[in-house]
Amino acid sequence: MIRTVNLQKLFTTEEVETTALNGINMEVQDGEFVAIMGPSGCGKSTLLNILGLLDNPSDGEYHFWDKEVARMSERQRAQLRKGSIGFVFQSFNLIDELTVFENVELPLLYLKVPAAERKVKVEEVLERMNIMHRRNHFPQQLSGGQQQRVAIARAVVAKPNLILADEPTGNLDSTNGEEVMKLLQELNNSGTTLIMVTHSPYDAGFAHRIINLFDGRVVTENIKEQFHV
Amino acid sequence: MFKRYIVIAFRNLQRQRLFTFINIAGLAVSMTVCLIVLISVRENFSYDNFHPAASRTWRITTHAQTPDGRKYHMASVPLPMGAALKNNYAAVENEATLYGVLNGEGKIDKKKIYISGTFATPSFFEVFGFKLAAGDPRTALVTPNSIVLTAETAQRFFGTNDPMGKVIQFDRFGSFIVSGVMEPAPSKSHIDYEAFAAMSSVPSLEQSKVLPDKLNNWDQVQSSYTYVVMRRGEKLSALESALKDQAHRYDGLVQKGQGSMAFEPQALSKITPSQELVDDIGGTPPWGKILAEIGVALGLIICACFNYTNLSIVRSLQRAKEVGVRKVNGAQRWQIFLQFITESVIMCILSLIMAVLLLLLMQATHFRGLPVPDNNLLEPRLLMLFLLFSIVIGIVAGAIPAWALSAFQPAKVLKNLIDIKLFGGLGLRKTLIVIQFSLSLTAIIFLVTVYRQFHYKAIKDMGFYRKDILNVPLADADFQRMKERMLQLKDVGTATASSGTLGMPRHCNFCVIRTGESKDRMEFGYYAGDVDFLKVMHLRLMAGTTFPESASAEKEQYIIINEKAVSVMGIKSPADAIGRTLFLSDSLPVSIIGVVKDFNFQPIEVNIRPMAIRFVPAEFHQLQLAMLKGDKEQQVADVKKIWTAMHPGEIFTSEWMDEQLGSRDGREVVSMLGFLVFITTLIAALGLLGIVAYTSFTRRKEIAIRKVLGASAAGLLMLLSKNYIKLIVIAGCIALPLGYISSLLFLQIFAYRVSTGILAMLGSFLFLVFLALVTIFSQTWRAIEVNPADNLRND
Repeated sequence: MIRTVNLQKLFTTEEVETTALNGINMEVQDGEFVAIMGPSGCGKSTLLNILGLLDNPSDGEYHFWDKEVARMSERQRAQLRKGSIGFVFQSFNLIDELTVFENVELPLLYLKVPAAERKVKVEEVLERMNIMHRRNHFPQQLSGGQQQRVAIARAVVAKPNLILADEPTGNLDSTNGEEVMKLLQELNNSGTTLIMVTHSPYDAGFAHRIINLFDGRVVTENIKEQFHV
Repeated sequence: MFKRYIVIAFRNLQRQRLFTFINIAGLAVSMTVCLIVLISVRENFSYDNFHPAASRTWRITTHAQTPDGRKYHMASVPLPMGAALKNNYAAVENEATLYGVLNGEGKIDKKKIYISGTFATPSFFEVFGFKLAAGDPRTALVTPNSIVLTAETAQRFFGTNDPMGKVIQFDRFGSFIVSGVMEPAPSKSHIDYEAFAAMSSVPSLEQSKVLPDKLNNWDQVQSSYTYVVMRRGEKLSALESALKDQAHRYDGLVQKGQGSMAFEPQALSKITPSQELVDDIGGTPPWGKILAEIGVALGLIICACFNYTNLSIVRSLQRAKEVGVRKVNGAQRWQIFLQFITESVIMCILSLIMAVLLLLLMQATHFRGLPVPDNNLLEPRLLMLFLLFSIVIGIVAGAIPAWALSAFQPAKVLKNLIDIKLFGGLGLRKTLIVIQFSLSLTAIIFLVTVYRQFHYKAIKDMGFYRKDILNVPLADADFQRMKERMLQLKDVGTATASSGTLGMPRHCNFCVIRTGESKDRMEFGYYAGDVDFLKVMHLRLMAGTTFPESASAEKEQYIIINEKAVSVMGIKSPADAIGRTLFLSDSLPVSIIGVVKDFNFQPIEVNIRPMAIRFVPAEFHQLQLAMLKGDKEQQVADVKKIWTAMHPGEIFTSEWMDEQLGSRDGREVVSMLGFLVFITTLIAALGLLGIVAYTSFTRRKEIAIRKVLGASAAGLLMLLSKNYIKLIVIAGCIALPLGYISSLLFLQIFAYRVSTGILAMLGSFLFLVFLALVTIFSQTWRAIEVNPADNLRND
């Protein structure tokens, strides 16, 4: 599904040039669950943004379903992203002005799914995330765990092939964190490819494979069976 | 999707109350002014849209040049023009000629009403779309001495009675039989006469010398207007060449160097707004006025739009995350753009609703700060126009913030909100604040000058007495008889008959005077007054006396002139002038009997010119009664009693001279300008309030850290305020010269004027600085007062 060749990302300000990614070569197969780990500032989130087509690399190749996407314009990336990639963030990133239902509905709106069908799909995913009873609440009225469940619901409602999660449990207590990880694992079990950035070795234990980054390079790759089943 | 945008917009408006209030209040107030202007502009552009062949109808105008080279573009043409065009050129299908001299009091029984009317050819109702409610349009203007009245004039004369066949008597023009009553026109027209009499009445009036010979005279241009309808398919060039043909009549004049005349067609649709041609019909609004109105409205709405743009940009930090999330979930940039535009359009529609409500309130309370129109505001077409206007404003105001916000990169905004900068940081916002405050300050300075000048005008000693003088119309009564009757009242000190009120515009008449020695003719302003005129008006004699009691009412013998006239005529001193002979209108010899000290007999916009006071009882219009101190209402009632006894059945009117002059001192202009300046300042202050409030909010962490590190409240206040104060000072540097120049230009209108007043200008500036400081300090103080621990904990 994903293949990168010598991926580079430089951030340039007036005075300094920072290398965030320095020759990343990686592959992710359909249905895999990959965790990316590494210390703060090693380029995990930058890599995730590029893999998620939110940003372009400075150099190198990025093949998404065998299609070279590294030089695409923002418009083309947005088009490709739509419906095929879902995002889960550490800080949930729900829109405060929208209700739970409306937040989850958002990707379907941009995919121009008819209203009746939207309703069915959103309710189905809210049921699955066990948050249906909160559908008319606003994000501030929910607990952190509930907010992250809404964010996951939003990420999966359009049935994307790939979900990118950026420290999904970072703002949650252990009980809620565990619950979220189980949800992600379930999604992966049902065939969705998952790439997750995390600091937590415990959370990484849910993945099939762990990629360790240091100073913008892949230092080790552990292929293993999942720890937590 | 669109519905969702609207829902979100309303949720945002509700959540951001300060933002919503500032925007809606500013937009609503400025929109109110815009709506007034919109109504007025729409009206001004809907003149004459009901005539049957409007696109083929042209008015003929004259380019005249006098022997001394002065050029005039006149709306009128020689009276025979219409017939000459129709009879000699096949391309001309029809013509209508108006001869607008039917002015005077029309009388029916005891009822007298002043009519401003015209003579018109029978084709008038073919060329123009005016309809008759009574009478036959084909014949109504055929028979001599037949007259067609507008519906309103007929109503004034006859009330609900049928006017057809009734006779209206004019002192000058004789009797006219009502042959038609017009329906109210479907829209306004530049042809705004109250009565139309048959042109066939003119020959006998010319014969009896009531009117000058003009029917066959190609040398006189004034007061006659010709409209032609061209045949279908005929080009304008056909008319132009016909007019060139007609202008050959003046070839001799050109050769002798005695001036020239040429003619030019003017499309019916181009007559209004008026290009201010000389001798134009009626009071159609000129382009200048319309452009000024549009300018004021645009200035205000731009200020309000600036607030929206500014506040939206300040708030962009709060909306950035939303944009990021939407983009991550598949939104394209144009969709985000559309969402923000929708929000600003909604804001404008809400403001529109408030503006319409405000206008309705102004109508209901007869608000006088602005010229509120009396239209039905809820007329669907007008509402559609308003709606369209507010949508356009919404798009204009929202475009920049929508463009900027929709450009956010999701990868950046979702990670680190603090780094977002729009338009190279604060540049745009600062520029907008400076523009707003410059505009307000310029407006304030200008208003202060206007106010000072009008105040000066009101109190300036024009050189004559104006207090406690009651002006009463003579209305055909013998001035001597009425004066004697009035003088019997115990409160009437003295009285004089006169042709008009000193100092009032257009009350002064003009005559041509030639001195005995030279052949030079000079134009003099003059008032007709009786023997007591100097006494009542407190005019000081420099030499000679007033008119003698024995002066003849029939044959003019004496004249009183002012010092300026003495010097213009080259006479050494006032005393030298006494006894000299002047010739009025080249032939009538009169002897100078007195010289008065110069005074402003015309409004102070005009310098003092040579003038005369003439004893011409035929021109006396009013009696001016110098009243003693007493109960003014009672005095008017006493005068009314005598007047009504002398004029049974007529309506009494009177006016105190100082009030009459006072009505011209521009109080309305000042109050309107004052209101507009208030709005501009309010909008600017609201904008500043919003921006300071939001930036203090975004800097709360910085404030907390500084406080923890020991910063004092005063130091913080200084730190947070100094940037804004800098901006206000820059605005001052721009606005002070602008205000000075605009004031200077305004004062040029007046011959007698106040100085530009540097102190007043500085005062205005300090007022604005004070206002800005109050706004800034109130907001920054709130930010400083918060316990730093709260802000650091929440971060």
